[in-house]
Amino acid sequence: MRFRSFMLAGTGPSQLRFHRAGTGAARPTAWRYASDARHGGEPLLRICGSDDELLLNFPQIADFYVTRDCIRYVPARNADETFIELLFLGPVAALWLELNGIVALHASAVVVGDSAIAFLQHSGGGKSTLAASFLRRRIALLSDDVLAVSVTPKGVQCMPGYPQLRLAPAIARQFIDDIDALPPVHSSAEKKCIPVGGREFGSFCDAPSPISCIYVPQRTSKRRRPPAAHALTPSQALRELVRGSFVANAADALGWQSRRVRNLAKVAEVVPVKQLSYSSGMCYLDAVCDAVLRDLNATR
Amino acid sequence: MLRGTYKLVPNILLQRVADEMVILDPANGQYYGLNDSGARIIMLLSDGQDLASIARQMLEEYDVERAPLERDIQKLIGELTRHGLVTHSA
Repeated sequence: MRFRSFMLAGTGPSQLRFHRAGTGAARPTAWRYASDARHGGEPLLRICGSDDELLLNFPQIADFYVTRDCIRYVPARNADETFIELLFLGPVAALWLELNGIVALHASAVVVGDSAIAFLQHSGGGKSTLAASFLRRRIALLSDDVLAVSVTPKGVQCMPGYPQLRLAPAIARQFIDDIDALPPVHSSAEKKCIPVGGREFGSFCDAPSPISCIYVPQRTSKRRRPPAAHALTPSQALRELVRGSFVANAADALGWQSRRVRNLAKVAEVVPVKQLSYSSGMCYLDAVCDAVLRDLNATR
Repeated sequence: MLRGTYKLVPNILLQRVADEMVILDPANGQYYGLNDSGARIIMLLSDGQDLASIARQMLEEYDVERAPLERDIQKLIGELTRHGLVTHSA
Protein backbone atom coordinates (compact mmCIF):
# COMPACT_ATOMS: atom_id res chain seq x y z
CA MET A 1 0.00 0.00 0.00
CA ARG A 2 1.34 3.44 -0.85
CA PHE A 3 0.26 6.58 0.93
CA ARG A 4 0.90 10.21 0.25
CA SER A 5 -0.48 12.11 3.17
CA PHE A 6 1.07 15.42 4.13
CA MET A 7 -1.21 15.66 7.13
CA LEU A 8 0.62 12.77 8.72
CA ALA A 9 4.12 13.74 7.68
CA GLY A 10 4.23 17.36 8.68
CA THR A 11 2.20 17.95 11.80
CA GLY A 12 5.14 18.72 14.03
CA PRO A 13 5.17 16.34 16.96
CA SER A 14 6.87 13.68 14.96
CA GLN A 15 7.57 12.28 11.57
CA LEU A 16 5.02 9.54 11.36
CA ARG A 17 6.02 6.07 10.26
CA PHE A 18 3.35 3.84 8.84
CA HIS A 19 4.00 0.24 8.01
CA ARG A 20 2.46 -3.17 7.80
CA ALA A 21 3.35 -5.44 10.69
CA GLY A 22 3.75 -9.19 10.53
CA THR A 23 1.65 -10.04 13.53
CA GLY A 24 -0.08 -8.13 16.24
CA ALA A 25 0.24 -8.32 19.99
CA ALA A 26 -2.09 -10.50 22.03
CA ARG A 27 -5.67 -9.27 21.83
CA PRO A 28 -6.83 -7.70 25.12
CA THR A 29 -10.30 -8.25 26.44
CA ALA A 30 -11.09 -4.85 27.99
CA TRP A 31 -12.15 -2.38 25.33
CA ARG A 32 -12.12 1.32 26.21
CA TYR A 33 -14.42 2.14 23.32
CA ALA A 34 -16.79 0.34 20.97
CA SER A 35 -18.49 2.30 18.20
CA ASP A 36 -22.24 2.33 17.64
CA ALA A 37 -21.56 1.92 13.92
CA ARG A 38 -21.41 -1.77 13.05
CA HIS A 39 -19.78 -3.86 10.37
CA GLY A 40 -20.58 -7.53 9.90
CA GLY A 41 -22.57 -7.64 13.15
CA GLU A 42 -19.73 -6.26 15.29
CA PRO A 43 -18.77 -2.72 16.28
CA LEU A 44 -16.92 -1.18 13.35
CA LEU A 45 -14.22 0.10 15.73
CA ARG A 46 -13.04 -1.02 19.14
CA ILE A 47 -10.17 0.61 21.03
CA CYS A 48 -8.02 -0.56 23.89
CA GLY A 49 -4.55 0.08 25.26
CA SER A 50 -2.97 3.16 26.79
CA ASP A 51 -2.02 6.49 25.26
CA ASP A 52 1.49 5.03 24.84
CA GLU A 53 0.09 2.51 22.37
CA LEU A 54 -3.50 2.22 21.30
CA LEU A 55 -4.96 -0.75 19.50
CA LEU A 56 -7.64 0.23 17.02
CA ASN A 57 -9.47 -2.95 16.11
CA PHE A 58 -11.67 -2.97 13.02
CA PRO A 59 -13.04 -6.54 13.14
CA GLN A 60 -12.56 -8.51 9.92
CA ILE A 61 -10.65 -5.59 8.40
CA ALA A 62 -7.46 -4.67 10.30
CA ASP A 63 -5.80 -3.86 13.60
CA PHE A 64 -3.91 -0.57 13.83
CA TYR A 65 -1.31 -0.11 16.58
CA VAL A 66 -1.00 3.61 17.11
CA THR A 67 1.72 5.47 19.01
CA ARG A 68 2.63 9.15 18.79
CA ASP A 69 5.15 8.56 16.02
CA CYS A 70 4.17 5.29 14.41
CA ILE A 71 1.15 3.43 13.08
CA ARG A 72 1.50 -0.29 12.38
CA TYR A 73 -1.30 -2.31 10.88
CA VAL A 74 -2.13 -5.96 10.64
CA PRO A 75 -4.73 -6.71 7.96
CA ALA A 76 -7.33 -9.39 8.55
CA ARG A 77 -7.30 -12.37 6.21
CA ASN A 78 -8.73 -11.41 2.80
CA ALA A 79 -9.33 -7.84 3.94
CA ASP A 80 -10.06 -5.24 1.29
CA GLU A 81 -6.91 -3.09 1.11
CA THR A 82 -8.84 -0.11 -0.22
CA PHE A 83 -11.07 -0.22 2.85
CA ILE A 84 -7.98 -0.35 5.07
CA GLU A 85 -6.67 2.72 3.27
CA LEU A 86 -9.98 4.48 3.80
CA LEU A 87 -9.89 3.74 7.53
CA PHE A 88 -6.27 4.82 7.77
CA LEU A 89 -6.93 8.17 6.11
CA GLY A 90 -10.11 8.68 8.17
CA PRO A 91 -10.62 7.57 11.77
CA VAL A 92 -7.11 6.18 12.30
CA ALA A 93 -5.43 9.40 11.15
CA ALA A 94 -7.93 11.46 13.15
CA LEU A 95 -7.26 9.51 16.35
CA TRP A 96 -3.51 9.75 15.76
CA LEU A 97 -3.86 13.54 15.42
CA GLU A 98 -5.94 13.76 18.61
CA LEU A 99 -3.40 11.56 20.42
CA ASN A 100 -0.82 14.20 19.51
CA GLY A 101 -3.06 17.03 20.76
CA ILE A 102 -4.05 18.16 17.26
CA VAL A 103 -7.73 18.77 16.61
CA ALA A 104 -9.23 16.61 13.84
CA LEU A 105 -12.29 18.29 12.36
CA HIS A 106 -14.78 16.76 9.96
CA ALA A 107 -14.13 19.45 7.38
CA SER A 108 -12.75 20.29 3.97
CA ALA A 109 -10.52 23.30 3.42
CA VAL A 110 -9.22 25.41 0.53
CA VAL A 111 -6.62 28.17 0.50
CA VAL A 112 -7.85 31.60 -0.59
CA GLY A 113 -5.01 34.07 -0.89
CA ASP A 114 -2.68 33.45 2.02
CA SER A 115 -5.05 31.69 4.39
CA ALA A 116 -7.43 28.75 4.51
CA ILE A 117 -11.17 28.61 4.82
CA ALA A 118 -12.86 25.46 6.03
CA PHE A 119 -16.28 23.90 5.51
CA LEU A 120 -17.32 22.01 8.64
CA GLN A 121 -19.97 19.39 8.15
CA HIS A 122 -20.68 15.70 8.56
CA SER A 123 -20.67 13.24 5.65
CA GLY A 124 -23.18 14.18 3.00
CA GLY A 125 -23.32 17.78 4.21
CA GLY A 126 -21.83 19.32 1.08
CA LYS A 127 -18.30 20.18 2.22
CA SER A 128 -16.44 18.26 -0.51
CA THR A 129 -18.75 19.63 -3.21
CA LEU A 130 -18.10 23.16 -1.99
CA ALA A 131 -14.36 22.52 -1.97
CA ALA A 132 -14.56 21.17 -5.53
CA SER A 133 -16.41 24.32 -6.60
CA PHE A 134 -13.52 26.42 -5.32
CA LEU A 135 -10.96 24.17 -7.02
CA ARG A 136 -12.70 24.90 -10.31
CA ARG A 137 -11.81 28.56 -9.66
CA ARG A 138 -8.09 27.76 -9.38
CA ILE A 139 -8.20 27.86 -5.60
CA ALA A 140 -6.08 25.11 -4.02
CA LEU A 141 -7.33 22.24 -1.87
CA LEU A 142 -5.78 21.97 1.58
CA SER A 143 -7.71 18.98 2.88
CA ASP A 144 -10.86 16.97 2.32
CA ASP A 145 -12.89 15.21 5.00
CA VAL A 146 -10.36 15.29 7.87
CA LEU A 147 -8.87 18.69 8.68
CA ALA A 148 -5.97 18.78 11.14
CA VAL A 149 -5.99 21.98 13.18
CA SER A 150 -3.01 22.81 15.35
CA VAL A 151 -3.67 25.11 18.29
CA THR A 152 -0.55 26.68 19.81
CA PRO A 153 0.13 29.88 21.78
CA LYS A 154 1.24 31.38 18.46
CA GLY A 155 -2.13 30.76 16.82
CA VAL A 156 -4.28 28.33 14.89
CA GLN A 157 -3.00 26.59 11.79
CA CYS A 158 -4.49 24.04 9.41
CA MET A 159 -2.39 21.19 8.12
CA PRO A 160 -2.54 19.90 4.56
CA GLY A 161 -4.29 16.58 4.11
CA TYR A 162 -3.81 14.49 1.00
CA PRO A 163 -4.39 15.49 -2.64
CA GLN A 164 -7.70 13.82 -3.22
CA LEU A 165 -11.43 14.56 -3.16
CA ARG A 166 -14.18 12.01 -2.68
CA LEU A 167 -17.41 12.72 -4.49
CA ALA A 168 -20.56 10.83 -5.43
CA PRO A 169 -20.60 10.03 -9.17
CA ALA A 170 -23.42 12.45 -9.96
CA ILE A 171 -21.48 15.29 -8.36
CA ALA A 172 -18.07 14.20 -9.69
CA ARG A 173 -19.50 14.43 -13.24
CA GLN A 174 -20.00 18.15 -12.73
CA PHE A 175 -16.26 18.61 -12.33
CA ILE A 176 -14.60 15.76 -14.28
CA ASP A 177 -15.40 14.71 -17.86
CA ASP A 178 -14.62 11.01 -17.62
CA ILE A 179 -15.37 9.67 -14.16
CA ASP A 180 -15.53 6.03 -15.26
CA ALA A 181 -11.74 5.89 -15.19
CA LEU A 182 -11.63 7.05 -11.56
CA PRO A 183 -11.30 4.43 -8.81
CA PRO A 184 -14.04 4.04 -6.21
CA VAL A 185 -13.30 5.01 -2.60
CA HIS A 186 -13.30 1.30 -1.82
CA SER A 187 -14.43 -1.78 -3.68
CA SER A 188 -18.09 -1.62 -2.65
CA ALA A 189 -18.46 2.16 -2.57
CA GLU A 190 -20.14 4.40 -5.11
CA LYS A 191 -18.10 7.48 -4.31
CA LYS A 192 -15.16 8.21 -6.57
CA CYS A 193 -11.60 9.21 -5.63
CA ILE A 194 -10.61 12.30 -7.58
CA PRO A 195 -6.89 13.00 -7.61
CA VAL A 196 -6.13 16.67 -7.10
CA GLY A 197 -3.09 18.50 -8.36
CA GLY A 198 -2.31 16.35 -11.36
CA ARG A 199 -3.60 16.76 -14.88
CA GLU A 200 -7.13 15.84 -13.90
CA PHE A 201 -8.40 18.49 -11.57
CA GLY A 202 -7.41 21.46 -9.43
CA SER A 203 -4.31 22.13 -7.38
CA PHE A 204 -3.17 21.11 -3.92
CA CYS A 205 -1.51 23.19 -1.20
CA ASP A 206 1.03 21.07 0.69
CA ALA A 207 2.01 23.64 3.32
CA PRO A 208 0.37 24.50 6.65
CA SER A 209 -1.84 27.56 6.49
CA PRO A 210 -3.41 29.99 8.95
CA ILE A 211 -7.18 29.87 8.86
CA SER A 212 -9.35 32.92 8.29
CA CYS A 213 -12.86 31.49 8.63
CA ILE A 214 -14.76 28.27 9.29
CA TYR A 215 -18.08 28.00 7.50
CA VAL A 216 -20.82 25.58 8.57
CA PRO A 217 -22.78 24.74 5.40
CA GLN A 218 -26.53 24.71 5.90
CA ARG A 219 -28.43 23.70 2.79
CA THR A 220 -32.11 24.38 2.38
CA SER A 221 -34.60 22.90 -0.04
CA LYS A 222 -36.06 26.36 -0.69
CA ARG A 223 -35.16 27.48 -4.20
CA ARG A 224 -33.20 30.59 -5.11
CA ARG A 225 -32.43 31.59 -1.55
CA PRO A 226 -29.48 34.00 -1.76
CA PRO A 227 -26.44 32.49 -0.02
CA ALA A 228 -25.72 34.19 3.29
CA ALA A 229 -23.05 33.91 5.98
CA HIS A 230 -24.06 34.62 9.58
CA ALA A 231 -21.44 34.88 12.31
CA LEU A 232 -21.97 32.56 15.29
CA THR A 233 -21.31 33.62 18.86
CA PRO A 234 -18.26 31.99 20.44
CA SER A 235 -20.42 29.55 22.40
CA GLN A 236 -22.42 28.64 19.28
CA ALA A 237 -19.12 28.24 17.44
CA LEU A 238 -17.78 25.94 20.14
CA ARG A 239 -20.93 23.84 19.92
CA GLU A 240 -20.51 23.44 16.15
CA LEU A 241 -16.81 22.63 16.51
CA VAL A 242 -17.50 19.98 19.14
CA ARG A 243 -20.20 18.50 16.94
CA GLY A 244 -17.87 18.66 13.95
CA SER A 245 -15.03 16.76 15.56
CA PHE A 246 -14.11 13.76 13.44
CA VAL A 247 -13.76 11.19 16.21
CA ALA A 248 -15.53 12.90 19.11
CA ASN A 249 -17.06 9.80 20.71
CA ALA A 250 -13.88 7.76 20.59
CA ALA A 251 -11.72 10.65 21.80
CA ASP A 252 -14.10 11.29 24.68
CA ALA A 253 -14.06 7.61 25.68
CA LEU A 254 -10.26 7.76 25.75
CA GLY A 255 -10.37 10.67 28.21
CA TRP A 256 -9.18 13.36 25.80
CA GLN A 257 -12.33 15.43 25.99
CA SER A 258 -11.12 18.24 28.30
CA ARG A 259 -8.02 18.90 26.23
CA ARG A 260 -9.98 18.68 23.00
CA VAL A 261 -12.69 21.09 24.16
CA ARG A 262 -10.05 23.54 25.45
CA ASN A 263 -8.41 23.51 22.03
CA LEU A 264 -11.75 23.92 20.28
CA ALA A 265 -12.63 26.86 22.57
CA LYS A 266 -9.38 28.50 21.53
CA VAL A 267 -10.31 27.98 17.87
CA ALA A 268 -13.77 29.47 18.55
CA GLU A 269 -12.16 32.51 20.15
CA VAL A 270 -9.67 33.35 17.41
CA VAL A 271 -11.28 32.07 14.20
CA PRO A 272 -14.63 33.41 12.95
CA VAL A 273 -17.16 30.60 12.62
CA LYS A 274 -20.14 31.33 10.37
CA GLN A 275 -23.25 29.51 9.30
CA LEU A 276 -23.37 29.45 5.50
CA SER A 277 -26.94 28.97 4.30
CA TYR A 278 -27.78 28.38 0.66
CA SER A 279 -30.21 26.59 -1.61
CA SER A 280 -29.45 22.95 -2.30
CA GLY A 281 -28.46 22.22 -5.89
CA MET A 282 -25.42 22.29 -8.15
CA CYS A 283 -26.77 25.29 -10.03
CA TYR A 284 -26.39 27.47 -6.92
CA LEU A 285 -22.76 26.63 -6.12
CA ASP A 286 -21.24 29.46 -8.14
CA ALA A 287 -23.35 31.93 -6.22
CA VAL A 288 -22.23 30.30 -2.95
CA CYS A 289 -18.56 30.66 -3.93
CA ASP A 290 -19.17 34.31 -4.83
CA ALA A 291 -20.88 34.92 -1.49
CA VAL A 292 -18.02 33.32 0.45
CA LEU A 293 -15.40 35.37 -1.39
CA ARG A 294 -17.42 38.55 -0.81
CA ASP A 295 -17.72 37.69 2.87
CA LEU A 296 -13.98 37.12 3.13
CA ASN A 297 -13.19 40.42 1.40
CA ALA A 298 -15.57 42.25 3.71
CA THR A 299 -13.93 40.91 6.85
CA ARG A 300 -10.27 41.11 5.80
CA MET B 1 -34.26 33.04 51.40
CA LEU B 2 -32.62 30.42 49.23
CA ARG B 3 -31.89 27.03 50.74
CA GLY B 4 -30.14 23.87 49.67
CA THR B 5 -26.99 22.70 48.01
CA TYR B 6 -26.76 21.53 44.45
CA LYS B 7 -23.87 19.95 42.66
CA LEU B 8 -22.97 19.40 39.05
CA VAL B 9 -23.45 15.84 37.86
CA PRO B 10 -20.22 13.93 37.11
CA ASN B 11 -18.52 14.28 33.70
CA ILE B 12 -20.12 17.63 32.90
CA LEU B 13 -17.61 19.93 31.24
CA LEU B 14 -17.46 23.67 31.85
CA GLN B 15 -15.60 25.63 29.21
CA ARG B 16 -15.18 29.38 29.03
CA VAL B 17 -15.07 30.70 25.48
CA ALA B 18 -14.59 34.44 25.00
CA ASP B 19 -17.08 36.05 27.46
CA GLU B 20 -19.38 33.09 27.64
CA MET B 21 -19.51 29.84 29.56
CA VAL B 22 -20.59 26.65 27.87
CA ILE B 23 -21.78 23.56 29.71
CA LEU B 24 -21.16 20.38 27.74
CA ASP B 25 -23.01 17.22 28.63
CA PRO B 26 -21.16 14.38 26.88
CA ALA B 27 -23.83 11.88 27.95
CA ASN B 28 -26.39 13.30 25.54
CA GLY B 29 -24.30 15.61 23.36
CA GLN B 30 -26.15 18.72 24.55
CA TYR B 31 -24.53 22.13 24.95
CA TYR B 32 -25.81 25.02 27.02
CA GLY B 33 -24.60 28.60 26.91
CA LEU B 34 -24.59 30.82 29.98
CA ASN B 35 -24.26 34.58 30.29
CA ASP B 36 -21.79 36.17 32.67
CA SER B 37 -23.93 35.97 35.82
CA GLY B 38 -25.07 32.43 34.99
CA ALA B 39 -21.45 31.43 34.54
CA ARG B 40 -20.60 32.94 37.93
CA ILE B 41 -23.38 30.96 39.61
CA ILE B 42 -22.13 27.75 38.02
CA MET B 43 -18.56 28.43 39.12
CA LEU B 44 -19.70 29.07 42.72
CA LEU B 45 -21.82 25.92 42.55
CA SER B 46 -18.85 23.89 41.34
CA ASP B 47 -16.84 25.28 44.29
CA GLY B 48 -19.37 23.53 46.55
CA GLN B 49 -21.19 26.62 47.80
CA ASP B 50 -24.85 26.34 48.81
CA LEU B 51 -27.50 28.59 47.27
CA ALA B 52 -27.60 31.02 50.21
CA SER B 53 -23.87 31.67 50.05
CA ILE B 54 -24.00 31.94 46.26
CA ALA B 55 -26.64 34.67 46.66
CA ARG B 56 -24.54 36.48 49.28
CA GLN B 57 -21.47 36.36 47.05
CA MET B 58 -23.41 37.60 44.00
CA LEU B 59 -24.91 40.51 46.00
CA GLU B 60 -21.37 41.63 46.77
CA GLU B 61 -20.17 41.29 43.19
CA TYR B 62 -23.14 42.59 41.20
CA ASP B 63 -25.28 45.70 41.43
CA VAL B 64 -28.54 43.84 41.95
CA GLU B 65 -31.43 43.60 44.45
CA ARG B 66 -31.77 40.47 46.56
CA ALA B 67 -35.29 39.47 45.46
CA PRO B 68 -34.72 39.43 41.67
CA LEU B 69 -31.30 37.84 42.18
CA GLU B 70 -32.77 34.99 44.22
CA ARG B 71 -35.49 34.52 41.61
CA ASP B 72 -32.83 34.33 38.88
CA ILE B 73 -30.74 31.83 40.83
CA GLN B 74 -33.76 29.67 41.50
CA LYS B 75 -34.82 29.85 37.87
CA LEU B 76 -31.36 28.84 36.66
CA ILE B 77 -31.13 25.98 39.17
CA GLY B 78 -34.56 24.81 38.01
CA GLU B 79 -33.42 24.83 34.39
CA LEU B 80 -30.18 23.00 35.20
CA THR B 81 -32.09 20.41 37.23
CA ARG B 82 -34.63 19.93 34.44
CA HIS B 83 -31.79 19.24 31.99
CA GLY B 84 -30.14 16.83 34.42
CA LEU B 85 -27.02 18.95 34.83
CA VAL B 86 -27.25 19.42 38.61
CA THR B 87 -28.67 17.41 41.48
CA HIS B 88 -29.90 18.44 44.91
CA SER B 89 -27.37 17.20 47.41
CA ALA B 90 -28.62 18.45 50.81
